[in-house]
Amino acid sequence: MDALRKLQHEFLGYLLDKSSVDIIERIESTTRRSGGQRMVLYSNAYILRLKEALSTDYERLHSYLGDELFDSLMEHYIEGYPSQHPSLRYFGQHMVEFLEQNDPFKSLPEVTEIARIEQAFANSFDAADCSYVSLEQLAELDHSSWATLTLRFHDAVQLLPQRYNSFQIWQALANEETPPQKTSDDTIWLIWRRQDLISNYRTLEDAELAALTLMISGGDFAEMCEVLLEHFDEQQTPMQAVSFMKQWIHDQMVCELNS
Amino acid sequence: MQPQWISDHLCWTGVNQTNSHDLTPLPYNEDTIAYVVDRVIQVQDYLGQRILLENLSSYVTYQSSMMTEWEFFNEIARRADCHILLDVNNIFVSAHNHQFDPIDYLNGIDVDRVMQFHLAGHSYNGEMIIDTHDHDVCDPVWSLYESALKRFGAVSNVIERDGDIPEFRQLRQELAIAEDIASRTLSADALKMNAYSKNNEYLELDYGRTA
Repeated sequence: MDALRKLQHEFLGYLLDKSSVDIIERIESTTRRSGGQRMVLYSNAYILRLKEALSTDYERLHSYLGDELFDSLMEHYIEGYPSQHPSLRYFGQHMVEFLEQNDPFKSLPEVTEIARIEQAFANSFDAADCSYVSLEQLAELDHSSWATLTLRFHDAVQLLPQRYNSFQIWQALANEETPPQKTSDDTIWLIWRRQDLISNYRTLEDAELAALTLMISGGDFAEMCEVLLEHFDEQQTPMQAVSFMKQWIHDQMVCELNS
Repeated sequence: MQPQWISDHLCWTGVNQTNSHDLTPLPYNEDTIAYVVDRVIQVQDYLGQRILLENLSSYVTYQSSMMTEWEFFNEIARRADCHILLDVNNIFVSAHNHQFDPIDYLNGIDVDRVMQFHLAGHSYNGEMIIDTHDHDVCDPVWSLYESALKRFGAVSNVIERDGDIPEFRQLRQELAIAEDIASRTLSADALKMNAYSKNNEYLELDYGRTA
């Protein structure tokens, strides 16, 4: 099927770059439209479809940049990242990388952070369902198994380090308010999704961040206590570790207890 | 999961892992028929049941096409022994864009292979029609639906809508139009049962090519 493959290459080549016009010679022209005019329908639809996917995935980024700059961003992105996944859901997955590498965005770090936030919410929404662990299940654990207790977190759980007040900017844009000026603000945000399908987010203090990072990477309860000794005294530490775990389970972040 | 029907469009969407996210037509010739038939048979052997192939709307005809779309479509269905999902709106759109008679299309499709109809709305782009699925079904498409019912009988039907989705009441009114046309066009006995769908169940159980 060399002829079919050649035709497909030429067709797709035209969609990716309108200066690749070999396909046009293979299209019948009629009184209604020429072959070239007919191919333009496909190339316009291609661009529109991909722009719609990016506009849907990066709604707040669009609001922050404004129509003109966002449109230019989309055009360059579409040119630079032909869709490699059969689902449009993943077309915009290289946006952070694109923003980090290209002018004028690479000198606007909050723009990258806003894109990261939007990706994190999409990932949270898409994460496969799981049955969450209950506090009763934690209470039923045998005391001897606590030291080696590990947790499996829901795929929706994500840590999002930010260097600027991008979350506040994102929140303002989501509420259709004027966003605040960009300021430095080193904060770690936690995003997760509860059973009601609503994504939640909150900031993390140093101690909880250290504990959660360790537990997400597969650490056990004893290791979590060791990490927390840097933040609390020996008496407080085990209670604080249990308190964090209860909070995560209560918030529906945990899918499995293993010991 | 054991779905009653599994369908896909008779088209291509990408090459070398790059996707157009569009349904683009194939050249209608013997080479493509052989190529597609082999693959439909592979899929059906894997699934253990016949699949439905659906016609698409198109805006181009290739110079390497040696036959009409319906000849191509019907021949693939015969040789692969698969079913057909006839998108009545897509026939209307392509008939307009390529200036053929949509009734010729209907008459070129084997009666016993059609398991489902699709209906949808479309938009005009100058003198071309684009399959946008964001309008109500228009009168000429309802009329073509009536012709399809006359030829293929009480085949199941889906009204598709991807954009500008109105209130449910309005959508329900479109279904009422489809029901009204079917009751005016078909006999009461024909309406009681979709004979071909029943047949499909039997055929699925019977489907068993040796690997």
